Amino acid sequence: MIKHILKIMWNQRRTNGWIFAELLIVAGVLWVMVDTFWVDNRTYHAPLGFDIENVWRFKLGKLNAKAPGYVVDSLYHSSDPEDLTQLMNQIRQNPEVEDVCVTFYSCPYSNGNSWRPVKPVDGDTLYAKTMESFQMRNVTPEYFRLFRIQTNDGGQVYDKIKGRHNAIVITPEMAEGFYHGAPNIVGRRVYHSENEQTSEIAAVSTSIRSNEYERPEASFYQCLEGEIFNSVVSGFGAERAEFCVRMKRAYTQDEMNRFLDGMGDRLTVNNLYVYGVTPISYFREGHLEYYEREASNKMSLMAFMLVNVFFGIIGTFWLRMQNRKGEIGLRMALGAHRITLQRYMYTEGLCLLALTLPLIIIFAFNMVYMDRLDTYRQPLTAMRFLVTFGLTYLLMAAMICIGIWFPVRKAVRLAPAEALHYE
Amino acid sequence: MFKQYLKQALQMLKENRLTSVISILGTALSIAMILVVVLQFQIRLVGFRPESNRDRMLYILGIRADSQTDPNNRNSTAMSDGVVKECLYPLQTPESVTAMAKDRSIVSLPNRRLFEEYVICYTDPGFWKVFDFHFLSGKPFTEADFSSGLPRAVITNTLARKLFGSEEPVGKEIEMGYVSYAVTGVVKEPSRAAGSAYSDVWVPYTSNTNYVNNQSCGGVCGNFQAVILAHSSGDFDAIRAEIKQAVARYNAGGRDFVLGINYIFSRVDVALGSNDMNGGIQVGWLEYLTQKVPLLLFLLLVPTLNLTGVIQSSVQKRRSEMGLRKAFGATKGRLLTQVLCENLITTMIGGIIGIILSVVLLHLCKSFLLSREMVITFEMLFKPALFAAALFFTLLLNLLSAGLPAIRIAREQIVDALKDNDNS
Repeated sequence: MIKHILKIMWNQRRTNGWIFAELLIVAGVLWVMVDTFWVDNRTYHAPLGFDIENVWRFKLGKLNAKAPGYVVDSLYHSSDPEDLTQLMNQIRQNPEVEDVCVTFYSCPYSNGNSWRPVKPVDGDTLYAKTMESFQMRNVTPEYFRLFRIQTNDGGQVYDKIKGRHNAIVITPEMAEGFYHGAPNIVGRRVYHSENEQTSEIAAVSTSIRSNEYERPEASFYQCLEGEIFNSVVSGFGAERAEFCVRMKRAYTQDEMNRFLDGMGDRLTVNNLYVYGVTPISYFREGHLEYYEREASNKMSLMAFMLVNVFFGIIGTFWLRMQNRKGEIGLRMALGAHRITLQRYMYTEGLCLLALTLPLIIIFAFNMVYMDRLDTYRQPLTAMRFLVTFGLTYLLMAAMICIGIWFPVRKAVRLAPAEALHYE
Repeated sequence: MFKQYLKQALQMLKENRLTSVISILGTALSIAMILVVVLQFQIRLVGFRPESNRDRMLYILGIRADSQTDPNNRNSTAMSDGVVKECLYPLQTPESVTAMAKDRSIVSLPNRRLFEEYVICYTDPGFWKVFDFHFLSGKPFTEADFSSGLPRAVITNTLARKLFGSEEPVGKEIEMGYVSYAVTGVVKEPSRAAGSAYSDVWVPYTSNTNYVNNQSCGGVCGNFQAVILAHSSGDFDAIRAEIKQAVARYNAGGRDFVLGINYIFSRVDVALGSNDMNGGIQVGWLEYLTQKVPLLLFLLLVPTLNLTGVIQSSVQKRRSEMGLRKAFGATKGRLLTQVLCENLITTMIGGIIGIILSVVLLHLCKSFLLSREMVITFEMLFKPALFAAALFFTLLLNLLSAGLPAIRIAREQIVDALKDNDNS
């Protein structure tokens, strides 16, 4: 039967050519898109390395000199770091608060992007010669407890870091780059900045990703404690701090507003004050918006292509059926059953689709060869190819079957005598 | 002759309903998708209230401030009020100049603490000249309010209704950061598509001491961006030159940091995607088109293949008719025009539906095409450019899809055509 169909298709090559070209292009583009969805989806569901549940960000401001209660310079005997520390203490004392920490451009889903050159003091790797820049996160020690960040052997990072000065926490990607799997990384020292300053590695955390769609990158945490805390807070300004608070239970925005209202004066220290509160999940949404927009754009393009395939198939097969009414009538007169006829039509459509497969495989090999697929976030596996090809062809086959269904229904309802009339 | 084609085309549309519907829908969908891309650009480019004069506006979105002593201390940021006062306010060529800094803040009432955050625009009286806001009541804050740094505010009607339950709160007070601001006017809320003018509250920047006398990087860096309204777009070069002189004069003052205003964008630059935050890039037509043309071509190509298939079949059915006409002396050109014109009817109907569909699509998919909160108005969408683009792409689609079948049929041997011989 297949052979017979192929012969018919060859004879109809002039009209089949166009629909075949369309199927070919759509299959190619659709596959590339399905592949990006595969990558996005797999990446999205990998562990993040931190937990933002019930965490809120308090927004800080500095009083305008015209505001009542403004402390003028001559009466101000404090400093930014002291004010910030006091504000942290005042908020931590509230029984509904589980934990408080402060970061600078380093909170999860903030757009912060501080980089600092670092190299190992005793490593004998590539990195030991040159200073390479890595993303740095400026965080107070409570950060690790608040965001539930663990060491790569399952312990709590906070336990390793508390009470220590001038210590850093690195991610496993950075450890791998520096020491290539050597044991006893904790306790080694690294240089940072161009000067001869060194810090001790206090812990290696689990992999940390900046959001659901990114791969974990080599990065490190600088713990803001003692002198470093003072200099960083003074440098950036206390009101620029990302003031994160984990509550003991889930709160709604309204409840949180009432909570702030109830805190009253405790939200102000000299000219530093809390003006509002936003859940970290809000920043997450903002951060992921770009990726979701892209996904929606791709989805609409895919829908566009599939609708076009549907139109193309229905149009081609409708016209073909009209041109071949005689043939169909003859088949019916010679005793072909309706189901057989239907099967013929469907097989013809699917054969057309199947013929694109070898070409698409060649196209896929080229894409791999030219490194046009996202191999950075997800590796190329047989599974990836099977699933993406399967999904692509399933979608297209579904569209083709729907497209053929309508003309076929009309065709097989034709009375043989009437159909033969066309011959 | 064309009337004849029209009749014939309409007859054919009626005769083969299903394929006609499919061709029209296919065309409409393709044109609609293309127009959505065009509309996204158009909304960024053309003027609408309160940014009606976008064609006369220049934008300073960022500046450079490089240390004289430390070569590693280079900043790419917004400008301070000092730079605005010394370099931009004295400009002679423009019609008016405004500087603005946006922030978010809680807006409360003096006797009631509220928690919702709004966009606050710290600006100057020039703002109301550059942008043509529709004042529902009251008036903007004045030059005198600005120079004395009085806490005065203009708010949107939406905010007025939320806070006071009416759109007439002129004279009442709102509270931001513990400071009470008297409301001087209420404007109709601008669409978020008006990126520069958009805000919920506008106050003189002198009313907030955090925005005056900015001292970071030697008094050069701050929070302000500027929009300059020229008398006509022909003045752009003169204004750019004048700003260059002003910057040179400013730097002659011998500060620790050198000010650099590298980019002064026109609206076209901004619409194409130029930006001056964190480094600054100027995007020209070439870059924009290399990015968009492949997408547009793809949106044309897929339905073209469909349509060609359908047209091919329908032309095939009329081979004997064509052969006959040829036998009686119709030229190739004539047959070619006939097929193209007949097909144009289908594509034109598709094109018109496409325009309507594109507006519907834009509304439905607003959240990922534009932004969720953006209000789209009639004024933004129905510009001549939209119809010109629709016509252009419709003609292009027609030529691409009907061109090949038309050429084929026109070139066919009379004998073959008359015989309805399928071997050629």
